[in-house]
Amino acid sequence: MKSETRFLLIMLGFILILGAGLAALNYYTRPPKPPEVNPTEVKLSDVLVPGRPEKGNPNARVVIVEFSDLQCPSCRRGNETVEQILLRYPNKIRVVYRHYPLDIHERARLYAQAAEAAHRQGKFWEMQDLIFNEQDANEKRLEEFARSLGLNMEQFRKDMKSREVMQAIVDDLTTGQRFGVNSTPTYFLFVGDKGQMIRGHTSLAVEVEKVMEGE
Amino acid sequence: MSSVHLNRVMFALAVAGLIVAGLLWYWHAQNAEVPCTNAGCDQVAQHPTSRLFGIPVAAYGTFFYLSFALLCAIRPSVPAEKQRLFAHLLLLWGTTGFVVSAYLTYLELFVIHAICQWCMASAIIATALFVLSILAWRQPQLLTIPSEA
Repeated sequence: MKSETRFLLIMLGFILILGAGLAALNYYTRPPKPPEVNPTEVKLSDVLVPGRPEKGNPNARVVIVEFSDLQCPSCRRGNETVEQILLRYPNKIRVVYRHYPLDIHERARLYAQAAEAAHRQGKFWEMQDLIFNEQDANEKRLEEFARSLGLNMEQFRKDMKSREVMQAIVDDLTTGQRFGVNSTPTYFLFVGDKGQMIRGHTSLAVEVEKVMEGE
Repeated sequence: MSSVHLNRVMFALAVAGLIVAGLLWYWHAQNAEVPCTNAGCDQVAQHPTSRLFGIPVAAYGTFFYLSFALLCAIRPSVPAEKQRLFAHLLLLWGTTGFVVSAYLTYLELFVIHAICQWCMASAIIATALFVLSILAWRQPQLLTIPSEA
């Protein structure tokens, strides 16, 4: 082996060892993951943070926190179920939305960004309905939605790509993962501070009925 | 530029690319936030096209740069009759990197609609490697080390 090759190989080896060392250091010094929590032990304060989109009575004792994906068909049906529940108990329930865009849905994150950007201008639910109506909108169509809602377009475009909006979505996802959400829609139904996790919207309707009987 | 210097420049660029791609792969594997001055890096990293056959694109990039650096490192030691073959290999590899980078940049601009600065850095390095691999291929003289020739 010629000295030039030896020199270059030593350099490469040095870089590789340094990289592996730094990666290992970074990996082993990272902050510990919060422990997984049993869904039956979820408290309202665990999944409810200020600033998320919500509707219904803000002071209601019964709270539904939904983790939803705007490109998922059962979330669209879930939205209808929630609407029916709100119509049936207009003043007794508070609904809070949190994003849970699944990786299998190519545009779920984009839709979450659009809805979150609309939320910054007070039109989250309107944007959600428009997205759910079609569920195959591209970025251009999302802008048409925003325009039809009378949003400030410059702000909307800026918000959609902003770090704050991304962070809000990531925070929602992290909370969901921490409390055992792994499919959409997943709901947390609270009476006071006591909550239960409900997967799928058909069970939600049943459980809400049960809870409301006691209220 | 002498063939030795050209080879060293290619090696250094491949190592730089290796660092960029390696970092991106590590961040992707850790699902970590990619340090970036805009939101583009996260958007690109979270897009479905950031994986190919279930493997992060950055992993292919890491192996590409590593193999390029190895080719450059081994080149000075190959016998004279194999030098031409290595020049062909480098050109083939340089072209592959350039074409793939061009496609990935197209994806960023027209499909994901976001720019990831780290990916752009990699694309620039791959382009430079492509140009240098053409120069190396066109150089009539073999890669010789003056002191050992």
